[in-house]
Amino acid sequence: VLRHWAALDECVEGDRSATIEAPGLLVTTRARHDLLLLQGDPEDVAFRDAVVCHVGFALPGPQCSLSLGGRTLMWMTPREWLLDVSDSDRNGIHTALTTAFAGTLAAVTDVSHALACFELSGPRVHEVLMAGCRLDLTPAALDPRRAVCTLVADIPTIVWRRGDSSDVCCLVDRSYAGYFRTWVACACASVFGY
Amino acid sequence: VRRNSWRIEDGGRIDRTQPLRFHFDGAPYEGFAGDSLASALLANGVRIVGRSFKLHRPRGLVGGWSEEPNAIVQIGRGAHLVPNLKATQVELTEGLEARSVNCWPNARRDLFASLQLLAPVLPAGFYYKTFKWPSWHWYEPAIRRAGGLGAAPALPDPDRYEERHEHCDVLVIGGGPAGLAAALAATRAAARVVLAEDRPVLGGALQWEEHLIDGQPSTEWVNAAERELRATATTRVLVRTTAFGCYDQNLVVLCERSAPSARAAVRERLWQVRAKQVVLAAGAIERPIVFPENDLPGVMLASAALSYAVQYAVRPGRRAVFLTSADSAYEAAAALQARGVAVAAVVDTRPAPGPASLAARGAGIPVIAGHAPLRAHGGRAVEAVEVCPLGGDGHRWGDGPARLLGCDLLCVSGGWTPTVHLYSQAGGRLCYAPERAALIPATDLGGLRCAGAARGGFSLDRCLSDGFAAGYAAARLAGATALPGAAPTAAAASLAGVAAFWASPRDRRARAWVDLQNDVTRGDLELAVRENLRSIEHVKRYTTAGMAVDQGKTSNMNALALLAELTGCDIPSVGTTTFRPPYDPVTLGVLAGRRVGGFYHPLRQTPLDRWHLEHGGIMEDFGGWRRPAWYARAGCSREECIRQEKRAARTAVSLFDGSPLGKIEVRGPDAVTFLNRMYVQDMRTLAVGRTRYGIMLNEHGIVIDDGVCMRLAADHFVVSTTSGGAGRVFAAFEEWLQCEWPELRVLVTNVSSAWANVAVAGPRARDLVERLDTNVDLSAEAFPHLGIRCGTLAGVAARLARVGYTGELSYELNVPAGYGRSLWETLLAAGADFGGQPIGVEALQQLRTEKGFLHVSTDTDGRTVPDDLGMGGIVARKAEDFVGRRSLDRPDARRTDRLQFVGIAAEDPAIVLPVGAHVIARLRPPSGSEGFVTSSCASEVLGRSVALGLVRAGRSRMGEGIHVYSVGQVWPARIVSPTWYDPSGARLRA
Repeated sequence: VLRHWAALDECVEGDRSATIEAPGLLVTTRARHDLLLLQGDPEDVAFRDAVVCHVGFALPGPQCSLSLGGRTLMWMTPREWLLDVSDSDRNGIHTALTTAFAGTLAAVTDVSHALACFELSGPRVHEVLMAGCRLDLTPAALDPRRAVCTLVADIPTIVWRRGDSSDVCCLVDRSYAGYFRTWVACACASVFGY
Repeated sequence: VRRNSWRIEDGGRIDRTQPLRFHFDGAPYEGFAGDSLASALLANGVRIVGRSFKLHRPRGLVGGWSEEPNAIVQIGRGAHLVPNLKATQVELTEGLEARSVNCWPNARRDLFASLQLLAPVLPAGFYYKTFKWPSWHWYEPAIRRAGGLGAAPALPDPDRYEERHEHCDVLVIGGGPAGLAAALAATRAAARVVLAEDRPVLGGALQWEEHLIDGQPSTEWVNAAERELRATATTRVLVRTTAFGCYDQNLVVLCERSAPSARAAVRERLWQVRAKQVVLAAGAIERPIVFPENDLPGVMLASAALSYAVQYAVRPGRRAVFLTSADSAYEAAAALQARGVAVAAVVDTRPAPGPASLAARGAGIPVIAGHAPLRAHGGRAVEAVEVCPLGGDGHRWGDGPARLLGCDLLCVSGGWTPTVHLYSQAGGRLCYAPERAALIPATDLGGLRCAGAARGGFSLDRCLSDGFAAGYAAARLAGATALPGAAPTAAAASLAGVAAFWASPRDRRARAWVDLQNDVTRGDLELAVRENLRSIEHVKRYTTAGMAVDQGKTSNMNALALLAELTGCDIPSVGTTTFRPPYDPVTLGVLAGRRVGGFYHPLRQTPLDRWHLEHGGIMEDFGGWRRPAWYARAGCSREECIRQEKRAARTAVSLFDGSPLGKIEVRGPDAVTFLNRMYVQDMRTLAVGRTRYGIMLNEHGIVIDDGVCMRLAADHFVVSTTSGGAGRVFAAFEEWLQCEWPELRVLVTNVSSAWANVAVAGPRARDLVERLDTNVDLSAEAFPHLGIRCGTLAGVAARLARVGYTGELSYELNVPAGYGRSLWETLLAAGADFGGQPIGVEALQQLRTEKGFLHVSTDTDGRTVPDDLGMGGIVARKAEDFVGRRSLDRPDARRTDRLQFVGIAAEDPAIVLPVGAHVIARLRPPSGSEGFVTSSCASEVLGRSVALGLVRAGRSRMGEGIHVYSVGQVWPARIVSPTWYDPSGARLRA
């Protein structure tokens, strides 16, 4: 039986743990996460109904996310949503959606292994990210539960403010996990002056 | 050590308890904390701080900050050497080492000064016409050695630079009275504010001008304002920060220089500020007057002399004469006299200077009205100035005797030039205000407004009220609603009268300098006009006026006013040169920011990255991925290691990390139609469970990528692209679907990183894969070459494809990325007794070269069409249209003498032809190129070297002898089939 390796375990540089601690900032990673990419036409009633039926709630609008019962659905593009099912049955939902989408122009893809997830918490998160992101990520500008697809440190990143606190989750392509972790550590040095 | 012999006994914003030692041109000096390098030099009596660019004339300090044209220095040494700084902007630090530039051995005694003798033959544009025969290049090295500025450091920059992004409601540029008032108003209106000040401290001119604001001394008002701004959480105050560029949608770029004590951590920081509103309160720069010998050391802007005396407590001279056409010089004269500088006279070009002169007369300073400088006298420094009465129109000399006024300091003030660079960069239009003798902003822009002196309001009371109003207006436009209260007021309105006076009446016997940094004289401008250059842009380029480090901050206005006079135009008709970023020079380091070293560009890592490094992988950048080029083994050379890796693939089994290969899911009822349009090959006939090689063209018919289309179901494909091409192929898919074929019911998903890919290749490949627990029938009959199967492998979902790039029996095993390393290690362990081993990119490239497999972008270039690769038949047989097809019907694409993909066999099998070597038509030069070698290696299995290449009409010349040339060597060779190894393909299909 093959062993599962987390994205950062595959990297060699520096600390293999994602954890970075600085005044006002803590970076950790979720070793396992289950992510499904839903693609379909939001104007298509059958697609919308299938999502409501099997995910449990409706599709969020642009740059928004919705969470319920341990599941989160994040808007990615006008026809793509990312479903975080970390606390529920990934395979069950995957199978159910695959069945529901059969014969329609909609698809579900397991991207759990494609993305690395960094959790950044603390009041100075936005300062660190804005060392490499053009968007205004201050808590006043990045509304709670907003999810934006942008560039951080020149790599495509999904920045998702998970709730009312200033904590955000950054999802990057697995192949960039080591680079992103190193970059965040250096950005801390810049922002916190060491 | 020389110690502060020109220092005023008390006062100044320096810390006399902290003496600092420094060196200039090798000589030791001492200054104080709070000094600039310029003020410290002046305090030690150093008058000659540099040499002019062209003629090496001795030059002294003219300005007090970024406008300084003369004091160009380089500081530090080795990797920390920084060239072309202005001494006025260098903060003095302990142990500072500074050198003047463009002189030898130093600024005081410069052997190149003899160039002044050649001045008559070195007019503007001399290099365009004087050194034409026999060739400019004969003279160029010597001229470049004699000219130029500082030297670039030869070592890599060890300093760290950072980048930050910031958003705000109001960005205030300039921390002088107008900028402070604007920032206070916006802050009190509850806006999110950034205040950027160029100098180390806030206050601007209030650092050396003394007034009452809101009933308190101006310095106390500045301190109180700074405290209030810094105490507000939504306001960011940046000092030592230059706003140097304004771009679309109010993106303003700032360069923040760290305080000397903090430079070890971060030397400079680039701020990209996106502001809803910008208030430009950058102040104004005092203007010199053009008159003969006005470049002598000791000729200084009046405001600069004042700042040296008040801010730094330095006497810029012992006996001063002021030459002015503006009221502001009188305040400077009185302040200098109060600090022990004898003011011999204030010479005012205006016949009736008005009330400003009364205070000076009251202080016992003689005022000579209606006079202008005839010329300055002196050798290595100014010793006297000769002034003459002006005629009624102010442009001719009047009647009356000349007067010679002895002085060692000549303070000049021709009025003020608003600092409107960023306003103009933002698209603002300037208009000429004759009453202020200045070009001022015509209107506010949608997101940018000027305030204070930058808008032509040169008095303190105007700066305060204007700045406060601009800050509040900007905050309101940005959405802030709180009321800011009352604007600060100055106790008494200062006088700001000025009359336009650019230059003394012409004296053809003497040189009057317009641009000090580039040695541009009034005569040079006249020459340019005589040569029929009329546009200010052309005159700038011909004479070099306004170029180089200071960008003409003191010379541009005079140059365009004189050009207007010479061409008979008015100033608005002449216009200005284009204002471009940067406003002031910035380091390349800060523009690069952190994008150096490992951050130069993001390098992707495969799921096996750590394994490769732990097992001797020599990692290199291949298409943006860090991949093992080869694996080092103890006691083996690179070539031997690669040879061993190839041997394993040809004789046993090899493992290759193919995870970077692009993987794009294409799903939907029209998926096959879509792929049939995107690829040259016919995809409609591709059966489920089968794969097909395909090449992709752009609209010009040029090959841009290749890969394998795998059909998992009738409406479900996976497209495997080149490793570096996944992103652009996916983008092309999306573009065609969204923009051209929205009617196609297709979804595409880039899953490249979701899957790890291990390519198992070699005669024992099947034996090895069979050792893993799998539900896929691996027999040749059930799973033939070019088949694709979905199943499980060692307990996880997997996709197995019988494709490869080595020419051997191959399986590409795809498992979810998190299982990639475990699969790899399992395979290695299972194949140990077969002699299986990992191979790197170098071995793979050589294996595919032996097989004659194409590598797009190595064996193709930006001109290659399918027929060049021998795929013309496929194109001809395909009935449907596809991207790029129309372009293949162009006559050029159908030429028979195009470069075609072939094998090239060196006649001597031991010779490995160099990649890039050209096939030449004739042995003796000149010989045109008939093509070139694209891939080449030694082949152990074939017992000879092999090469691939693009050769003109190559396919019709099979067997023909050719010559291959590279770097002076020629080898005989022969055109052969590109398929060197296993031409029948039996090994692939095993």
